[in-house]
Amino acid sequence: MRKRILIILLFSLIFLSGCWDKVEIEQRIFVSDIGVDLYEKEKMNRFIVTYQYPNINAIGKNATEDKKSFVLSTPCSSIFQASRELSTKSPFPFYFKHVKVLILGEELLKEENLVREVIDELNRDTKINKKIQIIAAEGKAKDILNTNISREHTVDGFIYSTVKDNKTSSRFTSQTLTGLISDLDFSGVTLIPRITIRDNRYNISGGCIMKNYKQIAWIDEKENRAISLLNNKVKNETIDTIYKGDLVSYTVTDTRANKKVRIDDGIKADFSIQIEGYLQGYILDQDKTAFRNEVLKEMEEVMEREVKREVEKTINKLQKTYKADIIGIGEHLSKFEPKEWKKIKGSWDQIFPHIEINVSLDIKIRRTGLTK
Amino acid sequence: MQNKNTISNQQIKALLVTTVIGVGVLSLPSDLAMILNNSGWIAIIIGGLLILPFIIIMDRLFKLYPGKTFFQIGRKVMHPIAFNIILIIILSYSILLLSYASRIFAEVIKVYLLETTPTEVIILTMLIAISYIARSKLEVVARVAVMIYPIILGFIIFLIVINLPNADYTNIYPLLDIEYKEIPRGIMAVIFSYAGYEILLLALPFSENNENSLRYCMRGILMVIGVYLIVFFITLSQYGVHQLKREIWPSIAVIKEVDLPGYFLENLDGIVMAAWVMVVYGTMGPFLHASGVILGDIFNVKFHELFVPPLIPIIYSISLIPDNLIESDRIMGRILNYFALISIIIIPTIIFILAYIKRRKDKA
Amino acid sequence: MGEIISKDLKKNIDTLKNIFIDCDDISYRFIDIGKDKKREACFVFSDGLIDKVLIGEYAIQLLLTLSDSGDVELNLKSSGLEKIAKESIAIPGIKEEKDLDKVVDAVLSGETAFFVDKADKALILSSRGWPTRGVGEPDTETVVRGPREGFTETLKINTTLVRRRIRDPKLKIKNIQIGRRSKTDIAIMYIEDIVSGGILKEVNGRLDKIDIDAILDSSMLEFLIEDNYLSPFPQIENTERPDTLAASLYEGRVGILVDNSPFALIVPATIGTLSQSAEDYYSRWTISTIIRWVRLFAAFLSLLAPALYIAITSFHPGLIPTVLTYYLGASRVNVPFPAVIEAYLMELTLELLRESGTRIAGPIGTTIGIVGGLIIGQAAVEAGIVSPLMIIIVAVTTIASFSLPSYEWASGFRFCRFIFMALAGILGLYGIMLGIVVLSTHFARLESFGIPFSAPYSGLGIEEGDLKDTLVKAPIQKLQLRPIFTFPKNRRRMGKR
Repeated sequence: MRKRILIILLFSLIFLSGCWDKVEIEQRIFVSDIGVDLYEKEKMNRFIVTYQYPNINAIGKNATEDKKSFVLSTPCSSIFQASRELSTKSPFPFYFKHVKVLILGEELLKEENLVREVIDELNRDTKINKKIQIIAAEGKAKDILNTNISREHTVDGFIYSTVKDNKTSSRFTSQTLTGLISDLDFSGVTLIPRITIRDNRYNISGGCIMKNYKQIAWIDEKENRAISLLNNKVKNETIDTIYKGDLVSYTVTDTRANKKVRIDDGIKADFSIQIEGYLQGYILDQDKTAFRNEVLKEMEEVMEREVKREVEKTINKLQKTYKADIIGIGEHLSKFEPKEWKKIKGSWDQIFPHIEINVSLDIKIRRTGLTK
Repeated sequence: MQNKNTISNQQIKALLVTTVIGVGVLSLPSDLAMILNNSGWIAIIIGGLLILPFIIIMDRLFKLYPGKTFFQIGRKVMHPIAFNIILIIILSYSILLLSYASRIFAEVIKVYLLETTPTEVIILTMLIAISYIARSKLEVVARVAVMIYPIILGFIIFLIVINLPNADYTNIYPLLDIEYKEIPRGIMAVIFSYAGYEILLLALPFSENNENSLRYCMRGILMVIGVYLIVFFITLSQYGVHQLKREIWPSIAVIKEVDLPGYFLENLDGIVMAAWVMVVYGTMGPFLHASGVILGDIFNVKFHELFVPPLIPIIYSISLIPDNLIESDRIMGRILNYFALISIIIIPTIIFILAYIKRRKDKA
Repeated sequence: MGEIISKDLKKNIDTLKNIFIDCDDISYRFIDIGKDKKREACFVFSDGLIDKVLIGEYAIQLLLTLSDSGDVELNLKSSGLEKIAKESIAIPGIKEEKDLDKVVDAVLSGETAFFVDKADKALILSSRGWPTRGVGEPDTETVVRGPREGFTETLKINTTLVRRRIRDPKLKIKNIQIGRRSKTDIAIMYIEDIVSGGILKEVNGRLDKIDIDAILDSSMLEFLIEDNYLSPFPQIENTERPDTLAASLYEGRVGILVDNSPFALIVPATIGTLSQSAEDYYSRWTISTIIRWVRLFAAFLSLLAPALYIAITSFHPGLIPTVLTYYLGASRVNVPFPAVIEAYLMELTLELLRESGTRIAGPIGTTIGIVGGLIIGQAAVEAGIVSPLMIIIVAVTTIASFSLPSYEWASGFRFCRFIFMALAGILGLYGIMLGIVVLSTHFARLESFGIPFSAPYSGLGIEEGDLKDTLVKAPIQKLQLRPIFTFPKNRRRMGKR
């Protein structure tokens, strides 16, 4: 009996000798944003990687410091290599489980291979949450993260909170790491939001079309809205149009977009978009009331025309200029007509510009607010 | 009073489900997606249905000789030395499976939970914990299975509920684009995931209600098929077929796709890991117990507890043989597939045929 | 060792005086009885143990005043002391005894021995009347609604309290004595046509095997007869409430009452029964169900909360949502200790507070509890030694452990908590899971008198619906059959027979 206890005690010493992974929580640096820029293309140190992390001392009730976050950059050969380089400058080890945002610099986006490297590194890593937001920067990511501009403080980070949920507008489409890879797998193109600095504030608007891990175009906010409509991603939007000389403001509460792709002497795609909403603003005039059915119907028609024009213009640009199938026609084919898709997959780039795409819009003004 | 060392049918069903759902479920969706793309679910269903006849065979075997354990029947219908050789084959299969499972388990834990802890420590601690359950009698093993069973089910339901808001169901299509040539390969990939039901050879003789055991076993297998299907579809809808082919352990990694900070559901790795440890425990425990019992029978000793501690160093060293993950998959995985085929399909069938013939001879 | 009573009174008394030498609490009262007061008799009793009024008025006085207790000579020749007992003594409980050792036992138990010269037997008069605590509300198991009677230290009173609740002749109360020197009275109670013969046999068998000097409390008996004395968890339930004991007897379990102990033992016990309290049955089923789940959660908290805190802060800060991580980090910014040490320190402090609170009763005790808890905790946080979250966790853990109905059950978890904290400190979440897995195996292995300890959760009883009364609390109309885990002979307790 005594021997048994002795053996157990000796055995347990093995375990007490380590505690291999123990790092106290206040002794870690939680990186919240990562920015990647191009440095020297053909060399080892090809990237400049920037880490932004919050200042733990500035959080919570007993905040002792004021500066909300810190930024560190270094040239390096890969994103995680940067953490080793920066370990010479920081007191604690870096921890990547809470990274929320990845910003890719404009120059970097033009190099397909390098982007593929970056994305692979993030995809392979076990710690990075696959739902981090990927943003394209106009200019250098380092500059964007470094600018010491006044901004509201949120715990998750300002950029993340702005980007993550475009519930309030469709000026940009947020994209996660998984979404990006998935889109590029299915249709070869994807759309990521764009971040710029204007008037000393961050600005996330419009987007960047990437084809095969390389940027091919910037698109602006209106185009983004059109694409979001087609992709059924609009949650809340306001459409302003001119009706009989007055501005009509219409708030969207719900949209539904259906697409049907037919193979019928060539590929034809039909998008039907239904928009529901209410009248937000008209004009306060005794003679002009919005509470009559004909008026509402006319307003609807005006809006439909305007939005359809926008959408068709964007589709035209996508088809002819960019040759980018962001609206998911190829993906649809691969899922619902797999045999056809296998035949035309190789030459999709040539076929896509010539597809007939029809858009039918149906806007309904359900309510007019509190007044007539 | 429960002195008779019997286990109820509920416990048999739980034992079956928890032993079968083990290490195979981790990479199942991605292996199937690589071979069959979106129609991997067919291989799951066919594989499951394929093993049903063998369960029926096992049940019939024990009905031929009611009251006798597998070892007693084996010694009766075959020459004892031949039977010992068969037992040694089953034993090696069992040990190999345990080593493979420990290695994969340790790799997963290292990736998700403890990066720098040495693999040896993880494997060793797991083996010690498992030896505790392996040294108990069969009843206790069945009871632990019943306790783990709702955790597995609850976890699957949790997976479904969490993935509902975010999943893109169109990723499941095309559903029926089947390449018939690839189905046999798909089934080979699935077979290992269904291994584990041979625990019935040990458990069925002790069932307290022989008549209904078969029904419960069927229900158990149907439940396993259901679980695998759900895991497959969920991972498919979250990843899309291309990314699914890239993932090594999609069943666990899928939880990383869930990010609902507004609902306080972020970074749910911890829950998955906790459930995963229980799942592996539920698989390896009965296997180590069975190994102990087999050894006990070979040496004709009543108490299988003695043989469990010596097995631990053997399993430990075998599990450390492969250098990396790919090797362990290739070498051990492939050998295991063949071993599984022999042990769980061929051997019971042989014994059954011999027993049947002997019965005929005895009757005549 | 039967020393027979001799016919000579003087010899008997001398033998007794020899046995009771230096026992100054034994008294001898000589009286003369019979015609002409010629026959000598003696009462032997222990002064504090008897009800003196009873002996005085209903034995001594009657014998003294009865001038004609018949012809004692004649009576003695024909029917011995029987006639005296039948005609002259008014005490309800009388026995004849031949064996001197048994007389000694009886006197030490509070009976009075009555010797008459020339009789070779003695009469044992039942006269127990020692000072006893009245029947009051049990301290450890209070309910909002329900009876407020609790067991006392006297066996007779306790069996009476149970008999009042089971007026069925099938309720059997068997008395035995255990303990060579203490000769403690033990009563085994069971309802004959419900209880399973196997369990009863097991109980009797284990009680017979006990060979010990003294049993001072039912807990000592519990530790001697339980299945696995090394486990931190109890395998026998105990209660201070007669209604709980009666309810258990109705389920087909066996109750053991020990003299000098207000805690009755109930056998067999399972996880399900240990997590039930009497209040569940006296409240409505909706609230009882919710409270049962709260208890499950409390058990989980009491076992794992500090360990989870250690695992998350030291090993896996990535496992919690980001907002929480930052706040956790911020709250621990200047704490000098790593989380493990902090946790152990606070837990130890809390155990100290608990102990000191128990030692000192009354108002000082409660004050120390409040003072200690609040002020020490607050001061520690202000001084920056521990983080505020740790204080919250430790406090919640303690409260959770108090919400479990059975004290031993909660103590088992309390013990395991420290082991889990160590495991978490070495291997993080993996260590905790290993601990849980080993703990569940331990539960699966435990048996209580042949019944699996984890009964409703691990197979036995799932099909028969035992979970209706453990996992949730079904309304009483749904509980028409007794639970199966005791293998009762008769399962129907409500409704058509």
